[in-house]
Amino acid sequence: MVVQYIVYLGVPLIFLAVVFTIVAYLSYVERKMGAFMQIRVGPNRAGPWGILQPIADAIKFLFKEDVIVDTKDKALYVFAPAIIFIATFVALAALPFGMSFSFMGINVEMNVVNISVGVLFVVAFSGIAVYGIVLGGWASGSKYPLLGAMRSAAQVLSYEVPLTLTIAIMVLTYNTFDLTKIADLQQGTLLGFLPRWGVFLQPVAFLVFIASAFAEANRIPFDLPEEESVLVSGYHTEYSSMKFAMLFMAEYGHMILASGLIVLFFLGGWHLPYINASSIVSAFAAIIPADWARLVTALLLFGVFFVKVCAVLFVYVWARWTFPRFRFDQLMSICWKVLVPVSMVDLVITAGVITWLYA
Amino acid sequence: MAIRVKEPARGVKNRLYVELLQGMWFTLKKLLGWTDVTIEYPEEKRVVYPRFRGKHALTVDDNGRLRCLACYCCARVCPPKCIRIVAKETDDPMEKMPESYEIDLLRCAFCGLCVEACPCGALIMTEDYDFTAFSREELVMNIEKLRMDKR
Repeated sequence: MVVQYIVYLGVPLIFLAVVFTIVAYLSYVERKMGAFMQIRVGPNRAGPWGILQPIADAIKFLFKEDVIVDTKDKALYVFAPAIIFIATFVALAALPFGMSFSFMGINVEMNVVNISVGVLFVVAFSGIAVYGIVLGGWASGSKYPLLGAMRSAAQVLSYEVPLTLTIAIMVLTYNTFDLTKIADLQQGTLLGFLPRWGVFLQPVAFLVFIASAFAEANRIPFDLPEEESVLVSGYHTEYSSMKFAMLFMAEYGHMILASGLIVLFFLGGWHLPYINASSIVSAFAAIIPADWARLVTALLLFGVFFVKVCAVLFVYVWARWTFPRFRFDQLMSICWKVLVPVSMVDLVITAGVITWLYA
Repeated sequence: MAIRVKEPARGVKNRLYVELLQGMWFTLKKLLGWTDVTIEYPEEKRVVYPRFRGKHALTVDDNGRLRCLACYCCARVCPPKCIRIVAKETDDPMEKMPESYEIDLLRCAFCGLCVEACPCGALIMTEDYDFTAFSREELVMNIEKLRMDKR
């Protein structure tokens, strides 16, 4: 009984630790990969191959002088990065990251919270992040953060539309809001030779979702609001040390959230292609006792999920160092003139096909 | 009033975003190629070109005497006026010698006009560029610091 509660507490803590480590090392991976793509060497002074660079950054952030600008809205100024940070990391709580199983009578849930409407939860909380951006830019009291914040808010709000439409398409396809069930429905094959992944069921939705997810996370090619050359740093400008670190972590957390959603909706979640989870369990159960077989399978499938999320994060980093950025009006016209009509038409077609197949 | 700018027609390749994927393939090739053009200072240093203008030096002749005759040519031509010379007499009635010769490296522009102006080849510029100091006084060069005994 006590062990059950320890497990209920421990798994989320391990998940939190893993997410924070990924956030820290994502900055390192981004700098190193970007450097190699530009035929230069990235950070290589802090530890072998520069591996301790995120730790050096953390120490720097701790000891840096914390500047608070002299505006009337000091409370908002200090609280705005916290809003973005909280929104992103609470949304991360709904992501399942493996197969839930029971081990010697203990229920191990491979998610922080088992919400049956996980999709709604994630979409709702990632929408709250906009508040933090707008408040942070406004309360910074100078014109560059204000411009950056307004642009960023317009961008994030606009791209919420195709994002939510695409999520509606996926919810229609899988007929459930539960992220765990969505991942589990992607076992098996499609047309006999393709795995039954979302990317093969809904390729158009996949492309629209990827474009919207890049724009939501303010990543190049959509990062005009925070680009370093034009707007100094957009709404980041007036933030120093810990508050900047929080904004930084919130941006990478948002990237991880979007990657997790892409893997869960489109890339088969934690399942291997063509192989059912239950057949893996039975394969292991032939060698070791059934309980341990489930544990080993769950760890293996968590590894699969981790690798897939890392692959999507690599695509994020790869795209960042390859493409130039969009001008703001090009950005808006892509959203409203291309992505929204395409996703609306796709939604209508999906609804029509599902009604025709199952009515 | 908005002016509609005529944009070039997008072909099939553009509509299929082929160029985007070509760009990504290029960066991927560079990533996997594992080459870099970085010169990792201070372990590796760039080789300087032959007449590189670094820190100054005063040469000596075969007898061990400074070649400098305190003719003030370098001090006169120096744009930021960072060379200060005080001359003194020597045993030879035709030649002078510098009693004190100071170059303030903090004002020096490293233009090399002083080296060009010196008529006896006393003042040269070496390849030394990464000198540092902990105080301003250390970077005011006098004869002891500038004297270069070889060559």
